[in-house]
Amino acid sequence: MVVEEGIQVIEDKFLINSAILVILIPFLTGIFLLFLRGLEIRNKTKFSERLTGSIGVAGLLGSLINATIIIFTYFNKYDAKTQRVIGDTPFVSSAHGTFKWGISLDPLSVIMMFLLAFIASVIHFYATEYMHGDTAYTRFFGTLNFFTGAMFGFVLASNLFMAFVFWELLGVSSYMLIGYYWPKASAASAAKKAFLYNKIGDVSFLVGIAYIWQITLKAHHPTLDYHELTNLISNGTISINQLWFPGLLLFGGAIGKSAQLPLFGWLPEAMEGPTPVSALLHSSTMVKAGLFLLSRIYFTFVTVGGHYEAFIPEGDAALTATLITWLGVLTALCGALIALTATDIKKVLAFSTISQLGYIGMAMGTGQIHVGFYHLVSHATFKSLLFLCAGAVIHSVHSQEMKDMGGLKKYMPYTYWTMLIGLLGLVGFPFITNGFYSKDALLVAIKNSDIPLAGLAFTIALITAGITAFYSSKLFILTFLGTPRYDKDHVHPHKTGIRMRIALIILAIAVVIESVWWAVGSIGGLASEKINKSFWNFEYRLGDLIGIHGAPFALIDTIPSILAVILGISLAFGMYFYQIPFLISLKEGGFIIKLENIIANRFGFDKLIYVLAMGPGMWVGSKFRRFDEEVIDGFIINTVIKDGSLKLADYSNKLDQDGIDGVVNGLGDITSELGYNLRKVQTGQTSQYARWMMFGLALLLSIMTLLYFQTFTIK
Amino acid sequence: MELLYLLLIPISLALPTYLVGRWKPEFAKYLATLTILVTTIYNFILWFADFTNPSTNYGSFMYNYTKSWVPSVGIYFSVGVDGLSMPLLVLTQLVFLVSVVSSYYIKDQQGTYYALLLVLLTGVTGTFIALDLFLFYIFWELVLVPMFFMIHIWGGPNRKYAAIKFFIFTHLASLVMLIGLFYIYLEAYRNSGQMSFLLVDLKVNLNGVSFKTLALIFWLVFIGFVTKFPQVPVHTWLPDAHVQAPSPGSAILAGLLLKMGGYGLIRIPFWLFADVVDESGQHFFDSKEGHTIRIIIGFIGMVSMVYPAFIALQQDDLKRMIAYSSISHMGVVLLGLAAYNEWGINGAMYMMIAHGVISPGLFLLSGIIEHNTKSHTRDMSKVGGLAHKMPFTAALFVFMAFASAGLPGLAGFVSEFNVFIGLFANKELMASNDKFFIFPFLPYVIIPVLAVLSIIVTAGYYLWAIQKVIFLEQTDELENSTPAKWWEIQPVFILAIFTVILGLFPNTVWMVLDSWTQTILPH
Repeated sequence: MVVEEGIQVIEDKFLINSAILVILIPFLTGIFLLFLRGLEIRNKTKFSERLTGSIGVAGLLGSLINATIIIFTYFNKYDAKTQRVIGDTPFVSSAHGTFKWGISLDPLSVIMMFLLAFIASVIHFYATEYMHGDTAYTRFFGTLNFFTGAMFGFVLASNLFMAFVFWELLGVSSYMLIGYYWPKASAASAAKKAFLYNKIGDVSFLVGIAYIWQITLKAHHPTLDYHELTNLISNGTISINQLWFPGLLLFGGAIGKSAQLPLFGWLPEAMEGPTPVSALLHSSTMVKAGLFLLSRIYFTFVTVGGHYEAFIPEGDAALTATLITWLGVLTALCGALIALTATDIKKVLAFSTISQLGYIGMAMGTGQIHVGFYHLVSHATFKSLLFLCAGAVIHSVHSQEMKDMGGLKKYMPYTYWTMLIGLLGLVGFPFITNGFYSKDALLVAIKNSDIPLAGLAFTIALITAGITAFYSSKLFILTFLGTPRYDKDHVHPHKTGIRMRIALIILAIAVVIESVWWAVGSIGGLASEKINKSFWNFEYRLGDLIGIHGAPFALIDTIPSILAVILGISLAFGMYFYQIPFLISLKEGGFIIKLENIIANRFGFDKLIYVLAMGPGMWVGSKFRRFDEEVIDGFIINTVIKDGSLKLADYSNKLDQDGIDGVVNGLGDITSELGYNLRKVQTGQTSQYARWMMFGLALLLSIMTLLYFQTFTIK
Repeated sequence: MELLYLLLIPISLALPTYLVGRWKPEFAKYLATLTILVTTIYNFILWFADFTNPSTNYGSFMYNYTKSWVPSVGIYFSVGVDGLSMPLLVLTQLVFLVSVVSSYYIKDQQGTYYALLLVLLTGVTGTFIALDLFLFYIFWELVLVPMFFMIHIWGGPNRKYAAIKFFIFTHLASLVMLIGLFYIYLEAYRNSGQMSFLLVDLKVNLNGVSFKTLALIFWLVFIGFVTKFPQVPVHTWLPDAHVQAPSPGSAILAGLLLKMGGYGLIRIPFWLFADVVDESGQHFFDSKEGHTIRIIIGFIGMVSMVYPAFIALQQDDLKRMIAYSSISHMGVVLLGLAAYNEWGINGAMYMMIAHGVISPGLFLLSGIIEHNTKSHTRDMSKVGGLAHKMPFTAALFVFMAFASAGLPGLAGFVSEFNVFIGLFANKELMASNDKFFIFPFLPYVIIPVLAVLSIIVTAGYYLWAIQKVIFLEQTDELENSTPAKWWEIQPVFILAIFTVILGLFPNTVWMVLDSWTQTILPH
């Protein structure tokens, strides 16, 4: 059975209005806060942080309440498997095709929306304390709310047009947030870099949309709705053989936004923004937007056949899926390798995000959308927690470098424990963490997929899991364990503040809940038949809702990843905690150091982009400018036309004087007298001419008016 | 009669403004502001009264007023508006209103300045509403004169060169256009035996003229319009004129004078030839000749979009950069016309409106920056950290720059998105087998692809400008600067509001444009 056939579109004013509120409340509070910031600047005052911070958090809480209402109503009232709530209104309507605002409530968007509302609320709450004392506190919350609102819009969009609108808004608001400390040169250029890298993807996205429009237009049914496109495919009006190329272009957009190879360079730089921004950017907004897009347009690269199977199409159409998967695999590996060499605690986390995004992209590419989404949810939860913990640490020791930390366990117990929970999730510690189950599902998905060289991809993914375990443990050891390395005279690590602590605990609880949930669903499902699979097993349920099933959870599949994780952790502990000389000597081998250099330079991808894009761009620019100045303006206009016509005038003048003038000389005597009198008028001042022109016009006008009235009266 | 007020009020008050200015210079600016405020309000009333009904057919002329002028050759004094010209007419009043307010810094010969502004307003208004080719040409040329003086008298250090260059370029092109206009008249006369310069008559009378002749006429008028527009390679007057003109002058130049070229291009060939069919019932722009024309203007549009964008990347003078970006955006208009479907043409017309509110804002902002720096410079290498001293100006600059770069939710995006949708939906441009006859190795598909890629460059130069001028630490140039005065910043703010309205609720204007476009597209 193909699920799409049975899809039913429901109109539900109440739910749609709630969804609109989910988008609008953060937007409007954001704009209101920016307006307040304007007042602050004008009156040179500062509103109390309690007021502006509350407005910021309230905006998100408003969304969270609405999101909660939606998620409960939708899953209780409707059969999520076959019923979608869709509402739209025209935005730009031409006679033969309209671009619409539209909201679609379906399992993916509703879950994503709730997750986002939850995480963003916590992060906002955390930020009220973290940003304490900042001069532009109001601006921070204004932009942050705007940013979250843009992500809500993207998630809830029912068509590609609206998705693109919010996609771009995400880009610009992230630009504002990354460049939050704009007087700093590094922040300003990081913001610019992020926007431009994203823009490359955006153009690809735009062209993809245009292609889809062209294809559906040819099929006499122009549309950009996800829902209608799925219908068009399932009833055979358009086929995947037409769609794989636009799908590839849309994926190009995702490469930019979700920091896949080779456009990942902006993401580590985005750390220039305040830490809550990084937490939001890395967990559930921005970078997840690209992957969420993939889950929305999966019909362009995989075929969902009967019996809950998603398979990669044959022929040319397989290219898109193959590319998504393999780029994902390579991104995962590269991100993890670079994270190994990073020394800045936030950079480690940033590269680990890139690596995990690669994982998710890999799963999406194989067609197992639900598996990708599964890991997306896990990752969003633990990564937001990790960033907030890192923020707390940075707040405490006033440095981002791990060499300035160490032994913080004593001073920051809450952060220690919450970070441990988060890291266990990231590592995918066997059986007790959410990351373990979702990562296992990923590995199974890649192993069973039919993309070329699936075995190799599986091996790389496995190695990546080991590396992840290694750098996560290293981060943990260097930050919290061992002896303190910070400057004891100046830095006095303090306990994390109460609001930040609450935020950390809430997110840690969320990770734990997910872990228990996933564990009961997977392990419990194996142990007992009584466990309700469609509730406890998130992966199974999600697959059920969108019509794809992967291989069920099996203990035997987990063995390789467990081994990789244990190996990674023990190596890290041996090297950094117990400092076994043999292991340290491994690290200091000449070859390894050379390799480290290459990796630390990000495999030269940044340089490559520079060489390929910016260098030639500037070169072309300077050549074009000179062409404009020297050829078009200089040679053609000045030399050929100006000098040419002067020369022509010269010749005519000679002809005039020698030939015609003699005849006219007699006449000239008479006119010269007249000219003498008129000379007074010709003062050579432009303003005078202007006045004369005005008089002339006025005269003309009077005559015309007179004539007009005359014809009027005669008639 | 309604439209006559719009013409007569400014021109009849031009001379009084000058005279008042001789007596008390401040009064001249208030009188001019009041005059333009009245025409603006009146024009908005007209819009809300008659241009908000979705079921109206905006393809026909409203407020038509026709009087015989020179009956012996069929010249009429005829004015009227339709879905194409009305939005531009409203835009005209709006841009003039903000320009007159932001001219308050001018202290030199105020009477003359404001009187010229009123004459200019009449010229621009007349160009958009004239329904007679002859009248159209008169207004078209009338615009040149006050603009020339504005640059020449109140311009920057190199103003004389710029003013003369502006005049020669546009005037020469106008002459070529005039030949084209007469050609149209004569062909229509020969074809039907009716002597008339009236556009509505010509539209009917041209039916039956051979497509080869029409193609020739197209290129003649195209030269005239495209120079005003301006497109590569006849664009070099624009950066000079902009840099030297006073910033309100630049605002009018970019906001309206460029639009006159676009308007003329759509009105004269595209609208006028829309009903012409050959024996087989084929429309001109669908025929072989029309096909060639569209490919070539598409190519010109693409070059004009890409080439100036790269040049803008290399500019140091803020105003010069914005001038090049204007050329680049006008390339979008030409591309939309080349696409020749509803998205393309609507997008092209919408781009004229969107650019008409965005680019004046940017020019006025660069004017504010210039007036507030120590050595009155706009060089990006010298001005930096503007946000420290002039936060509102800085915020508006960022806003307008993003609007110009096509941020969704703002006016520019709607048009750019539609033009690209239109381009990619065009079968001929997407044909990868058809090659240019000039460049046999290039398929047509290079046109949309290169054009769309230039979006990145556009974002690039704006971001660079923002980084250098707005962000970072403050430079010495801004030591004495103070927050902008109300008459400096409010006009830009009004434009920003319109940018948002046009971006969020495009349908109010779009339905008028679309209703008009449906009347010229063959079905």
